[in-house]
Amino acid sequence: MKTFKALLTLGLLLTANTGYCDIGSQDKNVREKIIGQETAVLTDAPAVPPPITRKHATKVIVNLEVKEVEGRLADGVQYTFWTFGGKVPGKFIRIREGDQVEFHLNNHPDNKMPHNIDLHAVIGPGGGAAASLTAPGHSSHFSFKALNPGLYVYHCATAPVAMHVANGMYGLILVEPKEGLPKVDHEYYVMQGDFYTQGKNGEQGLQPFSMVKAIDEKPEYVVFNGAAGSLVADNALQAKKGETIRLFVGDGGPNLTSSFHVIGEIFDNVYPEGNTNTVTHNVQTTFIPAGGAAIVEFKTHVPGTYILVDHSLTRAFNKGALAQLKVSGDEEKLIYSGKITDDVYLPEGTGMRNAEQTKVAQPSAATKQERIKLGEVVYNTNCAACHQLTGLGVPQAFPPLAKSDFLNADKVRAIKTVTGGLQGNLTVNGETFNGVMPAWSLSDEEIANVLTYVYSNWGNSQQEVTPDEVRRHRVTPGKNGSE
Amino acid sequence: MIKQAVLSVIVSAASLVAMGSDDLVAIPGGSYVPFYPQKGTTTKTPVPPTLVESFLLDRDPVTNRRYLEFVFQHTEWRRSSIKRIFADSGYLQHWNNDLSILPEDLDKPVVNISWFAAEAFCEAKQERLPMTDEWEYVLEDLGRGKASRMQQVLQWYSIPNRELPQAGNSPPNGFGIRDMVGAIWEWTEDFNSFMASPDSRDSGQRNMFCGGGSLNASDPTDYASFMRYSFRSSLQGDFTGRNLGFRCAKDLK
Ligand code: HEC
Ligand SMILES: [Cu+2]
Repeated sequence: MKTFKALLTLGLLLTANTGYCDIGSQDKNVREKIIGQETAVLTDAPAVPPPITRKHATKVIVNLEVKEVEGRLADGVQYTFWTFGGKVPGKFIRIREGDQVEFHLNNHPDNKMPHNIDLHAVIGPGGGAAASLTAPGHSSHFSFKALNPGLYVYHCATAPVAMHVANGMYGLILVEPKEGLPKVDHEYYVMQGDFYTQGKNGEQGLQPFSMVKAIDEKPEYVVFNGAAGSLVADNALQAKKGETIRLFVGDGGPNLTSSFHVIGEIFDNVYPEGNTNTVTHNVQTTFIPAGGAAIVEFKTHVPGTYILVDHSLTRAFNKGALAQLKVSGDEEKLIYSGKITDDVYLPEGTGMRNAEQTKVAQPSAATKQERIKLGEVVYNTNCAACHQLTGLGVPQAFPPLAKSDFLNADKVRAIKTVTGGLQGNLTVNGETFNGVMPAWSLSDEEIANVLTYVYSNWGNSQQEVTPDEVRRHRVTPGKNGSE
Repeated sequence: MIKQAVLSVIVSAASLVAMGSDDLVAIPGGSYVPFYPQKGTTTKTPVPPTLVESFLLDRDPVTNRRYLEFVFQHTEWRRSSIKRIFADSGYLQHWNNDLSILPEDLDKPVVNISWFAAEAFCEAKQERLPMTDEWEYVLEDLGRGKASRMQQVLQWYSIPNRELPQAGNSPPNGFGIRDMVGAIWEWTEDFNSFMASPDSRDSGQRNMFCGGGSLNASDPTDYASFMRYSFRSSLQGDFTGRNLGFRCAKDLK
């Protein structure tokens, strides 16, 4: 661990010395001499091509085939994916800073759609998109020089872009810095994406793409590596206790950003936004924008199963954004004990009162003056956020309570409004509002107090509202008599 | 020589049971809002409606059978004799050879056809390819059944190529035209003259796409149309495709 971090720090110093933070420092990459030629090794997730050991720039040939294929999105749920290389996410591409890339995009003849590619690692209009628009059964090629190191997303940019991306057309390209990345025991490739099916989550069979849900940004599935459960059980990521792990994490979107987290781990190092020049340490959750990436590194200390999630948790537990890392090895009690005991918990004093569990008595107002005082507290905690401390409300959003004709005209209606909630068109002092006020689950006493407070202030009618009145006119939420 | 004689027999015998018709259907003129304006015509948004004059259009896409009859007479369009500049190497690749094709494919729409070849076929009949405006106008069908068509189209577009159905398989639309979507893509005369850019998000010029959506498209939520226009803009005249065929049109006069 120490050496691991030390190595990184060393790496940092090195890059700092070579001055990468200057704008335009990539210019010397433009001039770097190209020696030799090779064909890029491409891998399917979660595999990552081997680190580049070359000490010079070369010409790298990338052959990427676009295939439209039917595959598994979740158990019993099939989907037609559009892919870079047959799987979602697309093939991982690894090149070195300064390399000259000859990129061939091959659109399989069985495909129905034209496709292209926008690599965020490319500097040039469209990131290669216009140069690579390719009809089915055709192949186009273009070339670029990798000027900036980092981890970049690539994706299809053919109209309708959102649909091509929603169908799985994204992947990662690593432009490895000249000095390389510190050595680790495992490197894995994980990419999140959101999917929009016509059927609800879990609905069986081949599910067509839903344009409506995509436009509404309401995915049925949010998954890692193209399918719910693609990295669990036998397919879980593997490591041994004490090993170092590097995850190349991307978010293809098309719409959602990821709050990437590994439950039970702390990232020792994060290269935020895929930027290999900056390292932050001891990160719990890292933010990955749609169309962005991050590199995270950590050392495993305690054996067990670790869950990778988008920490926007309903995505993880209801829509599929969940993967596993299994760490094998002997237990490590010093770092993590596991459960030691399970005892009955009795907070101080609870034993005594259990028998006569009375409701905590609320202070009850004896005079109107007291009612106003207690009502002020209720108002400030429950109502002021919208109607403001001044009672003046917010134009076009929250109506005024100060001198409100709606309020002053009818005490019973006011009780119904607060107990039952209110929504729809409403005119207060000549101004129209169309908002929603939730029903308030406050006691009769509290409502009496808050309304008395409101009536007694800001030029209102000075009426008193009693708990008994509230009890008589209280309505169940949604049924107030004001419509 | 003998081979040819045998083939011509097959062709004429099979004609009796031909499925896809070679009827031309009269399409009454009207106006519609094109998805993209034609290059150099307007930078206005929303895109103004375009007038389409009355014309004739094939009821069904051209079938292998009809195309076979054509190359039988016009030898220069046979697979082995076509000039490379007029069609790429995929031209008629689903045929056994110059003049033979599996019998069950005869009445399927002909595919693996270049624009030049489609054009030559129509010309030989004193016809022409439909203009994109004409084709889209007929598909738009004066707004009849729009929502269901959009979903049907989207569904077909999003699955990879399968076995083609016989031509004339789908129910006719309001104009009496069949198979405009759901089986193949079709060539149009001016397939490449619309403002769909090869990079759909081109944001440089005002008259191009902007951001993720499109300033220019008349309905940015119409994914199906986006796909048709981007498909067309990915083509060149010599390209062929396993799902790319055509039908002919003719002026009314
Ligand atoms: C979340 C914001 C919000 C909070 C908090 C809130 N209200 Fe409202 N209130 C509204 C909105 C919005 C309306 C108008 C609803 C409509 O347009 O139909 C409204 C309407 C009213 C009205 C009737 C219109 C008027 O101006 O006379 C009264 C009375 C009222 N609220 C009292 C209260 C009281 C008392 C509380 C605290 C217990 C409270 N509200 C808390 C948003 C809020
Ligand atoms: Cu694509």
